[in-house]
Amino acid sequence: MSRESDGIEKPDAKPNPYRELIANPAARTYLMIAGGGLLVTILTMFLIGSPIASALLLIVGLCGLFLRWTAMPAVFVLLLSYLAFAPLGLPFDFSSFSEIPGSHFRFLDGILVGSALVYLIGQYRLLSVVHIGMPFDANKFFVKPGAKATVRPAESPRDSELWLLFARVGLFVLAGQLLWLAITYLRVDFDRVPPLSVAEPTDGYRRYGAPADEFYISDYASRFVLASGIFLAVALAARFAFWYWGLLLLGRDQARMIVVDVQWSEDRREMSRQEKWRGWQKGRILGKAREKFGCGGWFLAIGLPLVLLFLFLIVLCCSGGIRL
Amino acid sequence: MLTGRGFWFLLWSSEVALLGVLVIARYAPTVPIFALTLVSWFVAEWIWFQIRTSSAQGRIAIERHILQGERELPTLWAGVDCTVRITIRLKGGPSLPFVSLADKLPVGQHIREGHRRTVTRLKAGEPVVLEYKIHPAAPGVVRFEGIELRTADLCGFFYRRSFFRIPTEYLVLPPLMDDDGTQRANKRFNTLPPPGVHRIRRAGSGTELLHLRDYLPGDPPKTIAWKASARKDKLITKELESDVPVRLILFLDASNSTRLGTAGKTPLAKLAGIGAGVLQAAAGNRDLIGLTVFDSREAKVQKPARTRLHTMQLLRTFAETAGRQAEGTETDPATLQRHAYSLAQDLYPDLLEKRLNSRPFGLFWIPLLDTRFKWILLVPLIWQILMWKAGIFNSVVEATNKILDPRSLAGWSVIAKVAIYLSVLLTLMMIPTILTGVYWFLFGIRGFLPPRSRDLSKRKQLATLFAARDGDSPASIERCIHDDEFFGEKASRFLVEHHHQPPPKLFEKDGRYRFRCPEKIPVLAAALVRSVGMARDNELYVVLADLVELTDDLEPLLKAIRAACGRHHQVLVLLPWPDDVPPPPDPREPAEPLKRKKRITLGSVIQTSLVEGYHRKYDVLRLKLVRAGASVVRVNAADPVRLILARLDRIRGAGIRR
Repeated sequence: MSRESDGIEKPDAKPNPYRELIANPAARTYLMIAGGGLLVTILTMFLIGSPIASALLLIVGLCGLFLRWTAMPAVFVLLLSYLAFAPLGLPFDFSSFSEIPGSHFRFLDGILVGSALVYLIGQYRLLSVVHIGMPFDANKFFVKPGAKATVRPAESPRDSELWLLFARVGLFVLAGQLLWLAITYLRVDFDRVPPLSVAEPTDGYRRYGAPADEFYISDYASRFVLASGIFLAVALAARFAFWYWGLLLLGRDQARMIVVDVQWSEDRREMSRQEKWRGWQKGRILGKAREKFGCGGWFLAIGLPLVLLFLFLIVLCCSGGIRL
Repeated sequence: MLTGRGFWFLLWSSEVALLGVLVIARYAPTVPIFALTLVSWFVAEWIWFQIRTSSAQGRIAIERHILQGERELPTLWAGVDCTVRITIRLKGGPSLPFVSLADKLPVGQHIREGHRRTVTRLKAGEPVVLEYKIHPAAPGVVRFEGIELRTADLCGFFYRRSFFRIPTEYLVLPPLMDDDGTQRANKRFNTLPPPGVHRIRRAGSGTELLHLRDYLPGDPPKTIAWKASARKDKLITKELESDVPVRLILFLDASNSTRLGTAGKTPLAKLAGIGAGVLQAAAGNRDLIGLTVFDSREAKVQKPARTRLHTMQLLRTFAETAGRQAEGTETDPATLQRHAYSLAQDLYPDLLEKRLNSRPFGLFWIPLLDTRFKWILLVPLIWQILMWKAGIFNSVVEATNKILDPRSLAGWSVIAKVAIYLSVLLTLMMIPTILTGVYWFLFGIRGFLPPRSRDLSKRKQLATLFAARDGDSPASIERCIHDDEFFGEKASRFLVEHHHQPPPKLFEKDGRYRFRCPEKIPVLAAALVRSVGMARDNELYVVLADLVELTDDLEPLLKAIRAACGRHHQVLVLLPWPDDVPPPPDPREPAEPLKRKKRITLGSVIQTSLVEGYHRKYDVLRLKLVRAGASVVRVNAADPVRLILARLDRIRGAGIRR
């Protein structure tokens, strides 16, 4: 449990980031986890046949772990994806297609994805421990120089957290494979209700990428629609569930706020005009010119004469003053 | 809320997933599998974070204890350290692995020891305790607003800030003083009556002899002075002095002029501290003390008494009065809005959310019909009339004929020719209408541009918050939006309630001091006259008031002082003195030789001029009050408590000095 007497503390004179990585038990643990994940990822890429990829990923991973470069996880994701697509660095051969229908539950894929996920989880948790765990409430332009960011306390992660981490990684690797299986095994078919059909095994890789039949959407479009649909459905269902849960958990103040706001929304048009005239009359009595919220008088000063000028020109044109 | 880290991760992983599913899957299925796994992980983290935070929402219990000397007290004492202990418990449900808990410190208080913020994990059955010490230096009111809870997931993708509002106010009573500590140390009179009384040369039932007189039938036998009767050979009766209690009435100025300043350091807090010191010392002598708290509107009177309960009541009154906030220090609605919105973001983050506090599209649109430019909408009508009445229609047709050269439409079908001709004709006919429509659109759309949209959005959020808090009707929201004065009142009240004060503007544009509060003079004078009217004996009136800026409005007060002095009462006026103004030069001391300053700045010139002006006003005030019969003392000139006690002693011993 870390404690601060006030919101802002002066940073230490010269913090040593490397010493903190060793001294902080939480940082040490996540460093080990992320390092392990990175090592397995590199080995897997090496086995796939990409020593360049292994070297590049090692550099990126080490920069993220030891130099705390916050962009490195994103670079890692992009680089790994690119090198999985082009192991030698450049996409030389576009004619070699993979067999998409049979591409799920491959051992090396599972290891690679699982180890990369472990690295990413470890890297992000490490950043939460040693760099920043919670954002500042204020906009970054208003954060005082020297303000200390909130980080996770320097306590060893509990055993349950670590076990849960690895269990989750296994679960997500499985979920990813199942998801891929679903969007390749199924196919959008608007001739059916519901508009889904099972992709036939004979539609092997020769059909993949070929022009679509007249009444079928193409395979990649089908995959895209299915993947988007699944994520959207999950997100919408979760959103709806949390919205409803939020209504159940409403406090007294929040409920009152909703009632007042809804009533205002219903009667706003009538009340707005009434209060506007009341405010105008009040300003007249007080002898004040009201300047509400910086409405641009400049606009009227320029826009109105322009409109009048246009009108005048049209009248001139129509009356024969100007020949087109 | 998605953090920056979460946003970028979602963006990159979604892009890879999109490319992977659409294109790269043909070459390397590992890529979409990897990206889909990442997106699944992200969605699962979001769902899990939502479950954790939503379930914790109604399950967090917070207890606050204020301890002084290891004892929990309902009120605090100024000048004594107090411990704030907060226990936060999660009553079941999934734990929050990464939370930051912080107690919002009361305005004007500083931590002496301990911590008000902690970063930890919150789990059911493992309460988190925050403990720190504060030192309330002056009497007043300390307000604890509640606990801020910030929570994030372990990877830093999601973040939520909430505030548990548990507003609690504690009175800070003036410092307890030892009776001897504030009383005189030197003996001023040789024979003093018992505490709580003073003598008066009027026949009564006291113990001291007033005089002897001949016996009158009906005199009680015990009053016969037997020795004197034997010497005179006739019955002589002795008459005794009256023993009456000493009365002290304090008049405490609680007007806006004394409430300015940071919490605990206002002139009012100082005056209340002095009054409380006098009260306790006088109560130790069993003198009767009364208190009148006055401001620009009214005076509240507490009759003199000397019971312990009365003393405690007066201490509470002092504390409550010292805790009063200045009102109307700022009248500019934009400034008030800025301060109020900032405070509302701190304390009411949930009530400013869009799902509870909506900002509909129509709120920002500026309707042309509600402005003085609505006549623009008459332009299409006038144009139509002109077309028919002034023959412009014919001109339009002629212009269309000129524009459309028949040779250029040679290859077109008849229908196309008619369509083109009609479209050009209609365009020419409708141009004023189109332009008016464009003007209407541009006029209305301006409302969506900053700074208007930003300010209006904040104003609406605050207005709804005020309406919900005060139980007002929804009409008050619109009124707040369109009526600056109404909004200003609401915002001021909101800020005052939460003990937040925008920096006050002390002077008007024409240079007048804004916080003179001349209305308090008649109120004070009426209260003084009322006390004189109800007085039974020679009493001491102590006026604790800021009067320096009111030298031209003193006449009612001077009259009241003259009336009090005419009835043999004594009036003592204690003036608070600003900390940044040096005391006036003593005329008895030789003036310091002028030193040539190395550098004269505009600021120093203004400051010198203001200080001299203040000294001049003080001299005038002192002269007027002394001429009326009152004594004038600056608060920082001497120990005012001792001074008042000495004056009380003089009254008490007045009957002795024969």
